Amino acid sequence: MSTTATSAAAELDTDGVLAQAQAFFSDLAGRGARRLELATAAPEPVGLTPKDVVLERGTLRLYHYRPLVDEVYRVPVLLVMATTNKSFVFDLAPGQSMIEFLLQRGFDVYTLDWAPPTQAERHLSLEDYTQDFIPSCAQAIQTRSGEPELSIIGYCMGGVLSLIYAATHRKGPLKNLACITTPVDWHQLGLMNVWNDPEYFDVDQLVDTLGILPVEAVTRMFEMQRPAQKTAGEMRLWSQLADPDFVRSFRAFERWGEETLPLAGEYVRETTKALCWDNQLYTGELQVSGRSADLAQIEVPVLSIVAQHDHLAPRKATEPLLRLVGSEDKQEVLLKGGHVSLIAGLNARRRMWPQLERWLAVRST
Amino acid sequence: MANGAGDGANGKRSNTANDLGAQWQDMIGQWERGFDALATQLMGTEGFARAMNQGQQAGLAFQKTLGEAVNRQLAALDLPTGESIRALHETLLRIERRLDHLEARLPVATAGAADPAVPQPSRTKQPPVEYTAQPAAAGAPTGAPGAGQEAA
Repeated sequence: MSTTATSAAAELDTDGVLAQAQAFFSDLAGRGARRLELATAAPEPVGLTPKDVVLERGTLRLYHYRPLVDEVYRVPVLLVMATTNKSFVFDLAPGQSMIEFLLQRGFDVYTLDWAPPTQAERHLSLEDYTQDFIPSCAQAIQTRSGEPELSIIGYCMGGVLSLIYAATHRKGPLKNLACITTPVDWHQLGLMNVWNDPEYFDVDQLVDTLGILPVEAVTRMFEMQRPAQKTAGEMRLWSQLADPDFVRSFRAFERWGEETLPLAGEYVRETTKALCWDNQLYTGELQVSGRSADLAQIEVPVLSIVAQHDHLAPRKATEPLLRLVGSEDKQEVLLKGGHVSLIAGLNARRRMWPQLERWLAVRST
Repeated sequence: MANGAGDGANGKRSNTANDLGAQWQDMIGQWERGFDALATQLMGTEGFARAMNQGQQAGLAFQKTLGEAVNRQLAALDLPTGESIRALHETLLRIERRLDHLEARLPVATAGAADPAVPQPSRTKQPPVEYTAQPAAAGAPTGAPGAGQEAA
């Protein structure tokens, strides 16, 4: 190769590298601008399925979703949300909504949602949640629907509250109980067990000082269990900023994660001592309002839906549920996915919702 | 619950197997798993739990002492404390919520329109035949953990 040719090739290479670098930085700048635009945009609209407020008392909210079909199953369904988060994860967006899915399939759907508890509600306990709030909702649903029975679907801690309610209300009106990612063996919660070890963790000091466990503490507790999740999510977003579906879904989930709720102090104290430390839900020794909440007393059909890669309610913590309940009609569904994607991600639409619908449909007439 | 954005919205991948985007996604996934595994190892130790809780206890003790001192000063100046302002704020919020609730119901009441809750669909729906045809999903007592298990 002549000297002139070598020099020309080098020039071409330099041009190529420069062009690539320019394209890279131009793309990066474009993505940065788009991300900034998203960060300053109005929050993603969520919970759009039309609904009516049936009950509103303190932290308690009971919603009734307007039917989408002319004929529904006889037995209404109550979704019980975890106390740490808003229930709009069940209704993120049209087409990505478990509630919309159930309505389209002919269910009469209610949701028990939570507003942030105020300092005046710092004394709320398991008794309030399981002997007042859920029964009040059940009664309101009976009145509104004219039906004597209802099914309950509890998610995470909502599932725990539903189990306690079911064990302490054996005479009804509960007809079916579905628990989604619901831990029952609280000694199998991994990092939570280490951090909440009674040797180091002074729950009394925490509750007596703060009254209400602030949002920041609840969020931190979740984020510390998957410290890379937020950064990885952001990296995924940057790589898929051109995909409007992904961006919409990401922002809806992000909003849900950010709108975590504070917790009533007494409820935190009781949950820590009775469930986390003494594992009373698992041992059958839990007493609420003087009533035994032994899960063996539950005789209604039970469905347990668990996620294979759930880091908050690991398999070991959810697995004993079917062994502990006294029901003859019981079934477990183990699905791929994580704690949240199980109920609201793409996997939920393809896998979880249809299985839940099928189980519930034959038991709702 | 955690940050749902990381758990829920990550299911979408490029259709092309050798796509750079897919490789990038895999790389993020690997990094995330590796980092979380390492962090779990570090944070799952007795030493970390002890240090974290000692830090929290010290913070709470300081917060309590400071709060008491500030409250004493405010009481001496005959000024409301943070707690009393918060209580007032919460009372106002409750009143506002009730007003919003009543306001939302006003158009229905004044227009004499029927309560949207009244016209109910008939409660006669039956499950599709294929649902009742399969015993495992149709309510026959199975009691079988893992009956609906899906392969990884």
